[in-house]
Amino acid sequence: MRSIPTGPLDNRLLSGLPRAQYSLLAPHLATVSLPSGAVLFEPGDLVNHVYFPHSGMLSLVVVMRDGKGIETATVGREGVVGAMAGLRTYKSFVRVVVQMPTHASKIASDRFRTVVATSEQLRNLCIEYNETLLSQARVIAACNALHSVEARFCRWLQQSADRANSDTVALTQEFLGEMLGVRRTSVTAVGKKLHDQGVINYSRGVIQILDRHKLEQISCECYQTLLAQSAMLQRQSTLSQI
Amino acid sequence: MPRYFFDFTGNDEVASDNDGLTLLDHQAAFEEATMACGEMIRTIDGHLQPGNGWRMEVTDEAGKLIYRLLFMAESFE
Repeated sequence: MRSIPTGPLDNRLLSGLPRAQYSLLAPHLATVSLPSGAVLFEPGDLVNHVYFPHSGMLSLVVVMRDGKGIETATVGREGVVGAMAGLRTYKSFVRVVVQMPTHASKIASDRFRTVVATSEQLRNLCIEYNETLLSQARVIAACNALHSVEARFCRWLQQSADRANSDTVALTQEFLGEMLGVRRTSVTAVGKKLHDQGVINYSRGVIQILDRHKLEQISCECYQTLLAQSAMLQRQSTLSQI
Repeated sequence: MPRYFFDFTGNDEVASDNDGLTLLDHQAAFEEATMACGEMIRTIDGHLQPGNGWRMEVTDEAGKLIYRLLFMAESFE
Protein backbone atom coordinates (compact mmCIF):
# COMPACT_ATOMS: atom_id res chain seq x y z
CA MET A 1 0.00 0.00 0.00
CA ARG A 2 1.06 3.58 -0.59
CA SER A 3 1.80 5.38 2.60
CA ILE A 4 1.37 8.94 1.39
CA PRO A 5 0.21 10.95 4.39
CA THR A 6 -3.38 12.10 4.15
CA GLY A 7 -5.24 14.87 5.91
CA PRO A 8 -8.81 16.11 6.36
CA LEU A 9 -8.61 18.19 3.18
CA ASP A 10 -8.23 15.01 1.13
CA ASN A 11 -11.92 14.53 1.88
CA ARG A 12 -13.93 16.42 -0.75
CA LEU A 13 -16.74 17.42 1.60
CA LEU A 14 -14.30 18.93 4.08
CA SER A 15 -12.17 20.57 1.39
CA GLY A 16 -15.35 21.99 -0.17
CA LEU A 17 -16.31 23.85 3.00
CA PRO A 18 -15.61 27.57 3.27
CA ARG A 19 -12.60 28.19 5.49
CA ALA A 20 -14.66 29.58 8.37
CA GLN A 21 -16.87 26.49 8.47
CA TYR A 22 -13.95 24.13 8.18
CA SER A 23 -12.10 25.84 11.01
CA LEU A 24 -15.07 25.15 13.30
CA LEU A 25 -14.65 21.42 12.70
CA ALA A 26 -10.88 21.15 12.34
CA PRO A 27 -9.96 21.17 16.07
CA HIS A 28 -12.23 18.15 16.66
CA LEU A 29 -11.04 16.02 13.74
CA ALA A 30 -8.67 13.14 14.45
CA THR A 31 -7.04 11.20 11.63
CA VAL A 32 -7.44 7.44 12.00
CA SER A 33 -6.18 4.42 10.06
CA LEU A 34 -8.88 1.84 9.51
CA PRO A 35 -7.71 -1.68 8.61
CA SER A 36 -9.41 -3.70 5.91
CA GLY A 37 -12.30 -5.77 7.28
CA ALA A 38 -12.89 -3.62 10.39
CA VAL A 39 -16.55 -3.03 11.23
CA LEU A 40 -17.33 0.57 12.24
CA PHE A 41 -21.01 0.01 12.96
CA GLU A 42 -23.42 -2.92 13.12
CA PRO A 43 -27.12 -2.37 12.40
CA GLY A 44 -28.68 -0.86 15.52
CA ASP A 45 -25.42 0.62 16.80
CA LEU A 46 -25.46 4.20 17.99
CA VAL A 47 -23.42 6.29 15.56
CA ASN A 48 -21.04 7.78 18.12
CA HIS A 49 -18.50 8.95 15.56
CA VAL A 50 -18.73 10.46 12.11
CA TYR A 51 -16.10 9.50 9.52
CA PHE A 52 -14.85 11.55 6.58
CA PRO A 53 -12.56 9.25 4.53
CA HIS A 54 -9.37 10.70 3.04
CA SER A 55 -8.71 7.56 0.99
CA GLY A 56 -9.95 4.00 0.67
CA MET A 57 -13.52 2.78 0.82
CA LEU A 58 -16.24 1.99 3.34
CA SER A 59 -19.15 -0.28 2.44
CA LEU A 60 -22.69 0.05 3.74
CA VAL A 61 -24.01 -3.49 4.00
CA VAL A 62 -27.59 -4.57 4.67
CA VAL A 63 -27.61 -7.69 6.85
CA MET A 64 -30.46 -10.22 6.78
CA ARG A 65 -31.64 -12.25 9.80
CA ASP A 66 -29.80 -15.34 8.60
CA GLY A 67 -26.55 -13.35 8.41
CA LYS A 68 -26.50 -12.92 4.62
CA GLY A 69 -25.41 -9.45 3.62
CA ILE A 70 -25.23 -7.28 0.54
CA GLU A 71 -23.56 -3.97 -0.17
CA THR A 72 -25.96 -1.11 -0.85
CA ALA A 73 -23.58 1.84 -1.11
CA THR A 74 -19.92 2.73 -0.77
CA VAL A 75 -18.30 5.83 0.65
CA GLY A 76 -14.84 7.12 -0.21
CA ARG A 77 -13.06 10.45 -0.09
CA GLU A 78 -16.05 12.17 -1.71
CA GLY A 79 -18.29 11.34 1.23
CA VAL A 80 -19.05 10.82 4.88
CA VAL A 81 -20.39 8.03 7.07
CA GLY A 82 -22.83 8.91 9.83
CA ALA A 83 -23.67 12.46 8.70
CA MET A 84 -27.21 12.13 10.08
CA ALA A 85 -25.67 12.09 13.55
CA GLY A 86 -24.96 15.77 12.90
CA LEU A 87 -28.69 16.45 13.12
CA ARG A 88 -29.78 14.16 15.93
CA THR A 89 -28.93 11.03 17.89
CA TYR A 90 -28.68 8.45 15.17
CA LYS A 91 -28.59 4.65 15.00
CA SER A 92 -27.12 2.85 12.02
CA PHE A 93 -29.43 0.71 9.88
CA VAL A 94 -26.50 -0.91 8.13
CA ARG A 95 -23.19 -2.59 8.83
CA VAL A 96 -20.34 -0.28 7.89
CA VAL A 97 -17.28 -2.30 6.83
CA VAL A 98 -13.84 -1.05 5.88
CA GLN A 99 -13.27 -2.49 2.47
CA MET A 100 -9.66 -1.54 1.95
CA PRO A 101 -7.14 0.20 4.20
CA THR A 102 -8.70 3.62 4.75
CA HIS A 103 -7.60 6.86 6.34
CA ALA A 104 -10.33 9.06 7.69
CA SER A 105 -11.06 12.08 9.82
CA LYS A 106 -13.10 11.01 12.80
CA ILE A 107 -15.18 13.31 14.98
CA ALA A 108 -17.31 12.45 18.01
CA SER A 109 -21.00 12.75 17.08
CA ASP A 110 -21.93 15.02 20.00
CA ARG A 111 -19.09 17.41 19.08
CA PHE A 112 -20.16 17.28 15.44
CA ARG A 113 -23.77 18.08 16.43
CA THR A 114 -22.67 21.07 18.46
CA VAL A 115 -20.78 22.49 15.49
CA VAL A 116 -23.51 21.64 12.97
CA ALA A 117 -26.04 23.50 15.14
CA THR A 118 -24.11 26.72 14.52
CA SER A 119 -23.76 26.33 10.74
CA GLU A 120 -26.48 26.18 8.12
CA GLN A 121 -23.98 25.01 5.55
CA LEU A 122 -22.96 22.00 7.63
CA ARG A 123 -26.62 21.24 8.31
CA ASN A 124 -27.25 21.24 4.56
CA LEU A 125 -24.25 18.98 4.03
CA CYS A 126 -25.71 16.42 6.46
CA ILE A 127 -29.09 16.51 4.73
CA GLU A 128 -27.80 16.61 1.16
CA TYR A 129 -25.51 13.64 1.63
CA ASN A 130 -28.62 11.50 2.00
CA GLU A 131 -29.40 12.20 -1.66
CA THR A 132 -25.98 10.83 -2.60
CA LEU A 133 -26.58 7.65 -0.63
CA LEU A 134 -30.14 7.30 -1.92
CA SER A 135 -29.11 7.73 -5.54
CA GLN A 136 -26.44 5.05 -5.10
CA ALA A 137 -28.82 2.70 -3.31
CA ARG A 138 -31.40 3.03 -6.12
CA VAL A 139 -28.87 2.02 -8.77
CA ILE A 140 -27.45 -0.81 -6.66
CA ALA A 141 -30.94 -2.15 -5.81
CA ALA A 142 -31.74 -2.33 -9.52
CA CYS A 143 -28.32 -3.77 -10.37
CA ASN A 144 -28.56 -6.49 -7.73
CA ALA A 145 -32.00 -7.51 -8.94
CA LEU A 146 -31.43 -7.34 -12.69
CA HIS A 147 -27.79 -8.11 -13.45
CA SER A 148 -25.76 -11.31 -13.41
CA VAL A 149 -23.14 -12.10 -10.78
CA GLU A 150 -20.49 -11.74 -13.46
CA ALA A 151 -21.60 -8.26 -14.55
CA ARG A 152 -21.89 -7.11 -10.94
CA PHE A 153 -18.47 -8.57 -10.07
CA CYS A 154 -17.00 -6.43 -12.87
CA ARG A 155 -18.95 -3.33 -11.82
CA TRP A 156 -17.76 -3.75 -8.26
CA LEU A 157 -14.16 -4.33 -9.27
CA GLN A 158 -14.05 -1.12 -11.31
CA GLN A 159 -15.48 0.87 -8.40
CA SER A 160 -12.97 -0.62 -5.98
CA ALA A 161 -10.01 -0.07 -8.29
CA ASP A 162 -11.02 3.59 -8.66
CA ARG A 163 -11.24 3.98 -4.91
CA ALA A 164 -7.94 2.15 -4.33
CA ASN A 165 -6.39 4.26 -7.08
CA SER A 166 -4.73 1.06 -8.24
CA ASP A 167 -5.29 -1.87 -10.60
CA THR A 168 -4.80 -4.24 -7.70
CA VAL A 169 -7.47 -4.89 -5.09
CA ALA A 170 -6.86 -7.13 -2.08
CA LEU A 171 -9.84 -9.03 -0.74
CA THR A 172 -11.05 -12.49 0.13
CA GLN A 173 -13.72 -14.39 -1.79
CA GLU A 174 -15.88 -14.50 1.33
CA PHE A 175 -15.71 -10.73 1.58
CA LEU A 176 -16.49 -10.21 -2.09
CA GLY A 177 -19.36 -12.67 -1.70
CA GLU A 178 -20.80 -10.52 1.07
CA MET A 179 -20.50 -7.37 -1.03
CA LEU A 180 -22.27 -8.96 -3.97
CA GLY A 181 -24.74 -10.94 -1.86
CA VAL A 182 -23.71 -14.29 -3.33
CA ARG A 183 -22.01 -17.51 -2.23
CA ARG A 184 -18.26 -17.72 -2.15
CA THR A 185 -18.57 -20.54 -4.70
CA SER A 186 -20.15 -18.17 -7.23
CA VAL A 187 -17.41 -15.60 -6.65
CA THR A 188 -14.78 -18.29 -7.25
CA ALA A 189 -16.44 -19.45 -10.46
CA VAL A 190 -16.79 -15.95 -11.88
CA GLY A 191 -13.28 -14.96 -10.76
CA LYS A 192 -11.81 -18.06 -12.36
CA LYS A 193 -13.62 -17.43 -15.62
CA LEU A 194 -12.40 -13.82 -15.82
CA HIS A 195 -8.91 -15.02 -14.87
CA ASP A 196 -8.91 -17.59 -17.69
CA GLN A 197 -10.12 -14.95 -20.15
CA GLY A 198 -7.16 -12.76 -19.24
CA VAL A 199 -9.34 -9.99 -17.81
CA ILE A 200 -7.95 -10.27 -14.31
CA ASN A 201 -5.28 -12.12 -12.41
CA TYR A 202 -6.95 -13.71 -9.42
CA SER A 203 -4.85 -15.46 -6.85
CA ARG A 204 -5.12 -15.90 -3.12
CA GLY A 205 -7.13 -12.87 -2.20
CA VAL A 206 -5.57 -10.42 -4.62
CA ILE A 207 -7.26 -9.32 -7.83
CA GLN A 208 -5.22 -7.52 -10.43
CA ILE A 209 -6.99 -5.98 -13.41
CA LEU A 210 -5.16 -6.92 -16.60
CA ASP A 211 -7.62 -5.71 -19.23
CA ARG A 212 -9.68 -2.72 -18.17
CA HIS A 213 -11.41 -2.48 -21.55
CA LYS A 214 -12.73 -6.05 -21.41
CA LEU A 215 -13.73 -5.56 -17.80
CA GLU A 216 -15.85 -2.56 -18.83
CA GLN A 217 -17.48 -4.61 -21.59
CA ILE A 218 -18.46 -7.45 -19.26
CA SER A 219 -19.60 -5.05 -16.52
CA CYS A 220 -23.16 -3.79 -16.47
CA GLU A 221 -23.84 -0.13 -17.20
CA CYS A 222 -24.18 0.60 -13.49
CA TYR A 223 -20.51 1.49 -13.02
CA GLN A 224 -20.87 4.33 -15.54
CA THR A 225 -24.25 5.33 -14.12
CA LEU A 226 -22.83 5.62 -10.60
CA LEU A 227 -19.88 7.67 -11.84
CA ALA A 228 -22.12 10.03 -13.79
CA GLN A 229 -24.56 10.50 -10.91
CA SER A 230 -21.77 11.12 -8.43
CA ALA A 231 -20.21 13.74 -10.74
CA MET A 232 -23.59 15.40 -11.26
CA LEU A 233 -24.31 15.58 -7.53
CA GLN A 234 -20.89 17.08 -6.85
CA ARG A 235 -21.43 19.70 -9.55
CA GLN A 236 -24.83 20.60 -8.13
CA SER A 237 -23.50 20.95 -4.60
CA THR A 238 -20.59 23.09 -5.84
CA LEU A 239 -22.99 25.34 -7.73
CA SER A 240 -25.23 25.76 -4.70
CA GLN A 241 -22.29 27.15 -2.73
CA ILE A 242 -21.59 29.91 -5.23
CA MET B 1 -14.30 -30.48 8.51
CA PRO B 2 -13.96 -31.91 5.01
CA ARG B 3 -12.99 -29.70 2.07
CA TYR B 4 -15.10 -29.66 -1.07
CA PHE B 5 -14.34 -28.34 -4.55
CA PHE B 6 -16.93 -26.80 -6.85
CA ASP B 7 -16.14 -26.86 -10.57
CA PHE B 8 -18.27 -25.10 -13.16
CA THR B 9 -18.15 -26.30 -16.75
CA GLY B 10 -19.86 -24.28 -19.47
CA ASN B 11 -19.72 -24.79 -23.23
CA ASP B 12 -16.30 -23.39 -23.83
CA GLU B 13 -15.04 -22.73 -20.37
CA VAL B 14 -14.15 -24.53 -17.20
CA ALA B 15 -13.93 -22.70 -13.90
CA SER B 16 -12.15 -25.14 -11.64
CA ASP B 17 -12.04 -24.42 -7.96
CA ASN B 18 -8.45 -24.63 -6.71
CA ASP B 19 -9.04 -23.53 -3.15
CA GLY B 20 -12.13 -25.45 -2.17
CA LEU B 21 -14.30 -24.75 0.81
CA THR B 22 -14.44 -26.49 4.18
CA LEU B 23 -17.99 -27.44 5.03
CA LEU B 24 -19.70 -29.58 7.65
CA ASP B 25 -20.68 -32.52 5.45
CA HIS B 26 -21.98 -33.68 2.04
CA GLN B 27 -25.37 -32.12 2.73
CA ALA B 28 -23.79 -28.71 3.36
CA ALA B 29 -21.75 -29.10 0.16
CA PHE B 30 -24.92 -29.90 -1.78
CA GLU B 31 -26.64 -26.83 -0.38
CA GLU B 32 -23.66 -24.65 -1.30
CA ALA B 33 -23.77 -26.08 -4.84
CA THR B 34 -27.50 -25.48 -5.28
CA MET B 35 -27.27 -21.92 -3.99
CA ALA B 36 -24.32 -21.09 -6.21
CA CYS B 37 -26.09 -22.63 -9.25
CA GLY B 38 -29.16 -20.55 -8.44
CA GLU B 39 -27.02 -17.42 -8.49
CA MET B 40 -25.06 -18.38 -11.58
CA ILE B 41 -28.04 -19.39 -13.68
CA ARG B 42 -28.69 -15.77 -14.60
CA THR B 43 -25.46 -15.73 -16.59
CA ILE B 44 -27.20 -17.84 -19.28
CA ASP B 45 -29.53 -14.86 -19.69
CA GLY B 46 -30.46 -14.89 -23.37
CA HIS B 47 -27.17 -16.40 -24.50
CA LEU B 48 -27.95 -20.10 -24.19
CA GLN B 49 -28.42 -22.08 -27.41
CA PRO B 50 -30.24 -25.41 -27.73
CA GLY B 51 -27.71 -28.16 -27.21
CA ASN B 52 -25.77 -26.07 -24.74
CA GLY B 53 -25.67 -26.29 -21.02
CA TRP B 54 -23.49 -26.17 -18.01
CA ARG B 55 -22.77 -28.29 -15.01
CA MET B 56 -21.35 -27.99 -11.57
CA GLU B 57 -19.42 -30.87 -10.07
CA VAL B 58 -18.70 -31.20 -6.38
CA THR B 59 -15.66 -33.28 -5.51
CA ASP B 60 -13.95 -34.13 -2.25
CA GLU B 61 -10.28 -33.77 -1.36
CA ALA B 62 -9.46 -37.11 -2.94
CA GLY B 63 -10.99 -35.91 -6.20
CA LYS B 64 -13.98 -38.21 -5.83
CA LEU B 65 -17.15 -36.91 -7.50
CA ILE B 66 -19.87 -36.36 -4.89
CA TYR B 67 -22.56 -34.43 -6.79
CA ARG B 68 -23.22 -33.21 -10.30
CA LEU B 69 -25.78 -30.53 -11.07
CA LEU B 70 -26.76 -30.16 -14.72
CA PHE B 71 -28.53 -27.52 -16.69
CA MET B 72 -29.23 -28.55 -20.29
CA ALA B 73 -31.13 -26.91 -23.13
CA GLU B 74 -32.51 -29.42 -25.63
CA SER B 75 -34.42 -28.80 -28.84
CA PHE B 76 -36.84 -31.38 -30.22
CA GLU B 77 -37.53 -29.53 -33.46
